[in-house]
Amino acid sequence: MPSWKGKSRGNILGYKIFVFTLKHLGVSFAYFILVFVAFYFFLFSRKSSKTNHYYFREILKYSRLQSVWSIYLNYFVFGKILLDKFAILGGLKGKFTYNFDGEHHLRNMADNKTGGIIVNAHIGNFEIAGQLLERLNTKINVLMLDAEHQKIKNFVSDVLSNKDVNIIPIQNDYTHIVPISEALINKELIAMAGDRFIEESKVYEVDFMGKKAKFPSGPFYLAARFGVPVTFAFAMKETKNHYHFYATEPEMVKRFKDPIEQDKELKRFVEKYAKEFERILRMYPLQWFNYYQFWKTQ
Amino acid sequence: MENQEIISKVNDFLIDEFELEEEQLIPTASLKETLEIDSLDYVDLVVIIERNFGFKVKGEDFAGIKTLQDFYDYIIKRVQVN
Repeated sequence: MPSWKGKSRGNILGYKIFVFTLKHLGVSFAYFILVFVAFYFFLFSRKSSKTNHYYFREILKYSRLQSVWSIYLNYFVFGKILLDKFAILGGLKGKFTYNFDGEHHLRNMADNKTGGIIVNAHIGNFEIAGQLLERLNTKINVLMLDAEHQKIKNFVSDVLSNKDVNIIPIQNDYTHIVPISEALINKELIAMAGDRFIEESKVYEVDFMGKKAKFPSGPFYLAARFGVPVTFAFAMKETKNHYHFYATEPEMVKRFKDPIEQDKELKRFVEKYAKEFERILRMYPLQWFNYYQFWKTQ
Repeated sequence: MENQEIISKVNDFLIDEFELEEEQLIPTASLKETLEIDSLDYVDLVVIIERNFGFKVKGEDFAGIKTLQDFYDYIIKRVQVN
């Protein structure tokens, strides 16, 4: 089953180099260095290059040459986004411009204290959106699957130090369920990725970019269980210094006593999410950062 | 509340809410593997425990609970403390 195996690229030294370069040499110089770093990953990250080749060649139907070039560009864009993340969170927000489609939806959720689940994905730069959400003056909980990189997370948290962002790491023993429940009972917002799941998760297989892929039902079950709305949100890089933020109108997931009816409702939301995810990804095909086998047939 | 009463109450909600059969409720049964209680069920457990026994589950509480007996012991201990 194509589920995420819990490993992410990068180490603390890498992040420290990013921060040092940004602080002392500037964003443009860091981008220049990236040309070579991306080429290194292009040459030596065979596993992720292979899965991305499938994405460009089989899913997007790019030519052979275009696919290879896109694999390189994808690493380059990923690096730029990582750098932007540190630049913005390190206090260089003013260097970037943003436009928002649907910010008012999130503002309404925060102002009306409805609580809710912001379902994002591993595309674009959602961490930046998370920081931009501080404009809403509300506490945001961020659910993170890659808890094995807690050391990196701790380091990142030190750099970011945003008191309104609370990270909830997902644990195999389900201890994360309690802070999630508490946050939703208290009508707080939780941001979580809807495109990754671990082996034991309940998933639905739906159409995504022309092939079947599996998505977890968890975010939508939580919304139904705690009676909070869900919105799909993505933050995509458009130019060197510009990001575009998208958020859909919040919707309630109905709760049913009958498990068959509940299943139908959850699947309906997973399909909605996959459709919106696909719409955004087709606009920004290079900003796909799920470096593992995502589609079932692969 | 007596221990046996707590155990009966736990069994009742496992049967009602998680569609388990009475004969499945063996103390040595693993919650995850045998009773197939998944992450979403744990969400329900948090809410049901609070509703039935009047205490809030702490995040770290789940870490040591592997079998149904562990679960009984945990509830009994928390009810007694309360």
